[in-house]
Amino acid sequence: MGRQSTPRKNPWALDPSASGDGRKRSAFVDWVNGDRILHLSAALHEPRERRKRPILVFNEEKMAAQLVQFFRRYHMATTLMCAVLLVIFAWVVITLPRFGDSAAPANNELPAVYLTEGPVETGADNAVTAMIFTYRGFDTLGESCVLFLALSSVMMLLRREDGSMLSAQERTALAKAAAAEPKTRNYIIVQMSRILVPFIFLYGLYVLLGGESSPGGGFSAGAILSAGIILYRHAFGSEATERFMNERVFVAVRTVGLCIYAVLFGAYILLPDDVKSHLTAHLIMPIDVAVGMVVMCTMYGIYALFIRGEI
Amino acid sequence: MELLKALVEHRYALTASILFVTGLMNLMQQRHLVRKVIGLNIMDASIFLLLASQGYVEGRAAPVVAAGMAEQAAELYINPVPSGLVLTGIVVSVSVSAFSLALIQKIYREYGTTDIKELVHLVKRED
Repeated sequence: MGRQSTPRKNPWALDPSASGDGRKRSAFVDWVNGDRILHLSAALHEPRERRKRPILVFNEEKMAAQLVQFFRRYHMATTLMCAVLLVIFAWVVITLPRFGDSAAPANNELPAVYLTEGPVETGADNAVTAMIFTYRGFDTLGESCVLFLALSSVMMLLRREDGSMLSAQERTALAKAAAAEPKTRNYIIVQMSRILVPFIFLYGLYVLLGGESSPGGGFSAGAILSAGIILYRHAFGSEATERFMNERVFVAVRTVGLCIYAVLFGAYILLPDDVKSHLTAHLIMPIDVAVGMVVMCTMYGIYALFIRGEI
Repeated sequence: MELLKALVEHRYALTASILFVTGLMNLMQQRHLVRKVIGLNIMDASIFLLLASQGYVEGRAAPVVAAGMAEQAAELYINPVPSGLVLTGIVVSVSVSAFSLALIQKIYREYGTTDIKELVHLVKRED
């Protein structure tokens, strides 16, 4: 600090006494050299007699004007930035390998090994499934944990434990929403769901169990199954859904799914090689099903929490 | 002409970059928080497009290895690595969207608005 000169309006103004050798130097040079600390909030540290006018009064009009100014400049700045970014991207893009080029650096020995060794070592014809559940299994385990944590945080944010947590306003809103729920359901939706939901579940199971030998796998199957449950709940209401998907089932399935995955993959890593080679072919299916369960519960849980604040 | 040809050859990556910039602009310029999340999702989609297009190889099939084809699989099927990466990306994108939408709902319950300008105003007044 060390400088007790009179408060300045402009912190960058020339200060003749700033430098030790008597030469005139700009405050900016002093600041860069580290000889000087800027007091940008000088208005707050002014002497008492200068503080007659109130400083911290909330001036709504002035602030609104400032905000308008800020957002005007902000729009221009962001638009300019995005335009520059687009030019840079286009420049980079034309140096990338040509689309569909088999000699591209991404097509090196790694995918070749996954494709030729994968079906033999893991017993899964689908190279993507084989890759994500065995060679890149840690990555997929982390992914499942991300889903689990996302659902947990959504639960923390949106869950209503009991009525006491709610404000009176929220309680009336909730009662209103419950009253607005139609007693007679939409005929078209009910009839269509009656036909569609079994097929959606069947297709979901097919994708789940066929993930080893055809396109599919736990993630896509979980999404399809949860779509089926969501449609069912839309058509037949939450009471009907709770017969097979209440909170206890929900928590059990998603926790057990993640635990199965962690235990199986831990076993896969830690087991000796000769046991592993026998096991690998049988490991993908249980892991696949576990992931499917986790994804299904997560998707449905997020939907239910957003709709009603509880599972 | 050369440049145009290069751009057509890299059409997927170019589309991805345009989508990315669109999403970024949406993210930065929209005032409504839900629209910002939509912008984020557009950016995610552009990344998936770029990754998936990088894995494609002309004239090759999806990486489901047919029986007895394992030896020459490296010349028959496309690169499976970007597909796996896209899968990871989609999961993270869904998680982030759900979390941010939950946060937005919480903000709406607290302040009664999701407009960023009004929120800045309200938060400043609280200070």
